[in-house]
Amino acid sequence: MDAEPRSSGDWRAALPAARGWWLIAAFLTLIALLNFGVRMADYLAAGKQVPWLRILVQELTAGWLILPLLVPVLIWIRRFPLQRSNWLRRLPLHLAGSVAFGVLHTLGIWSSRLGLYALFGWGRYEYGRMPYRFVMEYQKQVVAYALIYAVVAVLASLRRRREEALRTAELEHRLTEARLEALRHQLNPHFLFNTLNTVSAFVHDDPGGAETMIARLSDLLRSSLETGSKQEVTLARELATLDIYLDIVRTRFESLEVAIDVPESVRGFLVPTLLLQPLVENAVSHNDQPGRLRVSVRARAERDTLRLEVADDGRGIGAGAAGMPAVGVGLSNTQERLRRLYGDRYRFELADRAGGGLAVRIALPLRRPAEAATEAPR
Amino acid sequence: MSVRVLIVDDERPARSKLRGHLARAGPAEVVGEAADGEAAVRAIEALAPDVVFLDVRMPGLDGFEVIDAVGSERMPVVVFVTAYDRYALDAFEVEAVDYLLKPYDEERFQRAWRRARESLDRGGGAARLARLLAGLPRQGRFLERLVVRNGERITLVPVTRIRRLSADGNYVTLDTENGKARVRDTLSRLESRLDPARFARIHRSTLVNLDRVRELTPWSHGDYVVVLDDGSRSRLSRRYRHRLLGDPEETR
Repeated sequence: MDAEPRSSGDWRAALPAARGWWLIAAFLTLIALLNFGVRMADYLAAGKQVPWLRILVQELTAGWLILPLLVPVLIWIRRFPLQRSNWLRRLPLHLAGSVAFGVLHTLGIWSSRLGLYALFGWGRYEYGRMPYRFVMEYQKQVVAYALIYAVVAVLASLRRRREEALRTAELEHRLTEARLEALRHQLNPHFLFNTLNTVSAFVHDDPGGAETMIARLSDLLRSSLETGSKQEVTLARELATLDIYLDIVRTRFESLEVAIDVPESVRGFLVPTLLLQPLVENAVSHNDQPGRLRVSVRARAERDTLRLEVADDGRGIGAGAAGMPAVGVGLSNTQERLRRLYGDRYRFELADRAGGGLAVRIALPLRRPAEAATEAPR
Repeated sequence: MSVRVLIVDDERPARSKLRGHLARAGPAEVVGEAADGEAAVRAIEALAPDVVFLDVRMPGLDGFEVIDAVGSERMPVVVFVTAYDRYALDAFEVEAVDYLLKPYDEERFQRAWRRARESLDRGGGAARLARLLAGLPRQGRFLERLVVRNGERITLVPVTRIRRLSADGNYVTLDTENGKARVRDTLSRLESRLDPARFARIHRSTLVNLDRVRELTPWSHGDYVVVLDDGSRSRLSRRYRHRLLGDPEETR
């Protein structure tokens, strides 16, 4: 059981909402009435006269007194959840917790009955020898404590599962969006019609070249139409997809230079699906400088971090026409996906380069496909 | 006599496609190729072609800015070539300017080529080009930057950097963040091509960038002075007062 709270300082989060309190009160009343029935039957079976009002008062005080005691108990349980790694060390804490709960509950029962007996004029309440009473009541109280712990743990696990499902759904949504964004770019009339124009340029003089362009364009469209839900692929696969796109734009623009600087040793690590292609497209399609455009893609592994950089020598963030930043909408989706996939274990930054141009730098946790299967990213 | 042609496109395959079509269509002589707008301006001025096939979207100067830099009256016959451009297409239709949509086939090329030669015979289409540029704002395409020529040097000034435009004979002087610059145009022609939500006339010979106005200071007899973000002052003439102060009734 690992009901580790997100922030143990927030004790209010351990407590149920108003409706929860009503439900608990109803449940305790029900238990009290059942106990009342048991004791009534016991008296009747023994053929004794039944002091039913006193029994009812006794059972209801015992049941309802649990309500105020639930506040410290729930906070205690949330503060020290039992986990696979620490349950042996934490078990004594809960033993102590259940004892404290028991002592307070028994004292509560005793003092409240003293008061109520006086109130109803039933004479002085006699609870017998207290040490034995504590032991007697504790046997039920420890079961109650364990039951409370179990309910809290089950509810927490249900909530976690629901959150996990939400997170997965959100990730899938973002991936779909990334695919749509890639598709939108490929179906962007400028990209599509210019590419088709290149094909038609080859038709007369270079039928083989025309055939190749048509095949590449089809590969590219297919890659973004694929609706797989794999959130991450190896860097090698991501580079292969990027290569299809680059094949097309390199044919169209001889002034485009793309340098892929990714050592073989890091190509087996995982990156989010469709991470690189939008970044490179962004550099190419927002280029506003006549002449040569250089785009570089770099990847390095540094201890437990995978560092990626896509840089160009175009116009950078600040210098777009009419002050528009040279950054596409696709980038915000990329960032959102990184956040959902890696929580706070990623870095994403845009920087103007010293010599002009834009650099996108991303740092990710270093993971291989096998590790991803065992250790779910958080 | 063969027609002297210049081909402007940032993609080499696109240029060789045009060369192929021209070779088959004749009578044409490709006198040059340019891969970006600046090279196109230089080539048009140096080679004086009869017809230019002009790509609309290019890095650096786009097709329209090439015309601005050269001056529409000095342009050869233009056949625009574009893959897609909403406003441009509408404007082409309105002014009946020649254009080719990529990708095109032999038949479409032949038609555009025939029309280009007809317009060459009629003595070019300078007036149509001027109307085309003036009409672009109607298609929702206001000027986003101005082409400034300083001899051979061509710079693009984003309109956001401009504080004020002042009429100056056949020229308009721009007050920008990076100093003054001059463009060969009239103030009213520029005004019609700039976004009216951003630029307002404050005087017969002055246009200001509203984003750059810091305050309006009352002057004598209900006149005002416009203070820009660099502290410079210009008179707000009564005729244009309502543009900055709203409610025209009040200014009567």
